Amino acid sequence: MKKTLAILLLICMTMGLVACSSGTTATTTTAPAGTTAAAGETTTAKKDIIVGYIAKNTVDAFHATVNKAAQEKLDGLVKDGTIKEWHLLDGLTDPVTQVNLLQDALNMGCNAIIILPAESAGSDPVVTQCAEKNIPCFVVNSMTDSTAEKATAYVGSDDVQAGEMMAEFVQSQIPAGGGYAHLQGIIGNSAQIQRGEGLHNILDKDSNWTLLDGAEQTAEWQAEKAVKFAEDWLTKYGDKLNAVICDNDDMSSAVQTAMNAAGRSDIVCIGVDGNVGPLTMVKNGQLLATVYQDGAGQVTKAIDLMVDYFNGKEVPKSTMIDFVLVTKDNVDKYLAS
Amino acid sequence: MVAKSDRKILGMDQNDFSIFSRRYGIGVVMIAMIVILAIASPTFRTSGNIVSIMLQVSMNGILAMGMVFVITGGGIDLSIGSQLALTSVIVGSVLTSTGNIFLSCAMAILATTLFGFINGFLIAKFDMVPFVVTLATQLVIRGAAYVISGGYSASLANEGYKLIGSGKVFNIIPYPVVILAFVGIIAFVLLHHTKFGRYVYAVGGNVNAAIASGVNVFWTRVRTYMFSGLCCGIAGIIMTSRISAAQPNIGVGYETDAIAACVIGGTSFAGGVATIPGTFMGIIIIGLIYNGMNLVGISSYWQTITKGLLIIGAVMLDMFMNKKK
Repeated sequence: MKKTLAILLLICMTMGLVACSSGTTATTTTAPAGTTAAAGETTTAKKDIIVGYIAKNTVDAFHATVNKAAQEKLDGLVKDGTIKEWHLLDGLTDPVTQVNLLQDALNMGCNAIIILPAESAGSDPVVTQCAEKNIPCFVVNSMTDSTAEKATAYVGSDDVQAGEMMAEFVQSQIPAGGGYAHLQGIIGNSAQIQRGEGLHNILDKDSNWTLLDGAEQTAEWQAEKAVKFAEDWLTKYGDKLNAVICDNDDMSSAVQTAMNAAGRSDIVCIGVDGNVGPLTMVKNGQLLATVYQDGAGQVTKAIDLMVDYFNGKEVPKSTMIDFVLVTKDNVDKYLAS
Repeated sequence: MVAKSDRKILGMDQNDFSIFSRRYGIGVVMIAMIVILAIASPTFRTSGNIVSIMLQVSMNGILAMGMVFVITGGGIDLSIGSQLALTSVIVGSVLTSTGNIFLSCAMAILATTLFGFINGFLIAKFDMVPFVVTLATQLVIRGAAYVISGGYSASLANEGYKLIGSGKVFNIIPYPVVILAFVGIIAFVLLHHTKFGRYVYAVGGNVNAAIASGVNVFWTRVRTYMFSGLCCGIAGIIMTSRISAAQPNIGVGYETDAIAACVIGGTSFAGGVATIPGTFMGIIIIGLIYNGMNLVGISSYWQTITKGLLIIGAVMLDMFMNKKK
């Protein structure tokens, strides 16, 4: 019986590992195929570029989109022989994990790093260690503290712009002004700080708009927490609540749904990201607008810059990809991709 | 535990054998994983990678060394993730205001040990459920970390402090690994070779029997939580140094890996059963799951599933062993 259990355990393990190794054979077979093709076709000096792609995570809708875009792009580069291989490493939204993954990447022989930082301060050692070891490091989506000095290039979007766009949209929808609430992401995150900054840049100057008392709280990017706050505020402020501005659109779409259900579809809810759920709501007319962050555009640009870098071209230190205001008029373009 | 059995297996009495096979069973899994990974990934075999694995498991290892005392004493400590955050912000604020590395580490360890004491005091004095108490203190401690830091994370520029996480002995063995070994030895001696260790087993195995034999149950339990708090402080100092940032939102979910390492290593949730070498194997196995699967290129979804399956397997083994007795 004891042995049976031990064997059972072993089977569990091997099954897991077999599942993995079958996955590997798939990637390893494509890699040599790519390189041989490259040897035959390209005349430029063949470089053994191995890319370590340290994702922020693989579970958020936004990051799933970014990772997918990166995967398509990098697989393409492996096929045409520009790079030898690449590895996706999951940072689990944890800076400590990301620092550990850099070690793994270097052990695997990676000589180029693409990172989507989990934290501006905590993930910074990835960038600084790359700089110490002279490994080109491309930072995507959000900056770490020393990105400006030490990273090879940064591609992202200016979150202050996103905050300003949200504020301006609210102004345009309700010209008479009123009271608004602000639901924040996790405090201390650069997106949270900068989106808030942009929002206040615009609305603090506008005497028609007031931030309702106690109505700026963190819902930690989470829809259900956001809804709880919004419902409480609706009870407390009633008609005085005219707009709910959220740091992401998981929150804004959930809040809009709750407001619509409460018979207050006049309340303008807006957020940032452009996830599929909110975009679908825009298409169906349940949500007025959302601010689209072009994550796929950011990461593909970063990969382009990496290729330029290895071709000896000068790459810009910082590249900004614009946010886009998505309304019913242009939603189809973003929903399709 | 009364050694009434006179049956002998492989020259050991039955009780010894059951403990041995518990260790041995998980050792087989560990060795199997190492062999399979060594075949599947050439990178896995490199010395650089072995050092990386040890470095990566050092924090979870230290946490698990504290956790194993708590679980063996019949408790659970869910507050360790928050304790890491508290350590991080205390180190950060003391270091920025005084620049004294020793003072900042001492203050952090003092604070986490104090919270460990509070955990233990509430549980042992009022006989409150450990799960609930530490679930609540988890929130209190996390909140305290936010209050101290004002919600902001801050980079630490102190080069000396960075060395704790990035320095190496003889240019090979990273300091965190040395610290893990040190904590491991202390935990081994404490649990297996002191009166306190025997009391922990006694309290976790059978509280009434422990009381009847004059064991100070209150202090035994309180001390297990204080040791866990101490370990959190040490792990937190390493973590803060590794990311060179004071980060109040860090450490979420770290209790899962620490508990998993204990359980995989043969620690019984019923209390009273655990070994430090077993826990150490549990730590290595968790590390192998993360590192090995990354090298082989398995998505993190499968890593999560594997971790879950392993825990179920370990608990099954544990239940089976207990029934046998």
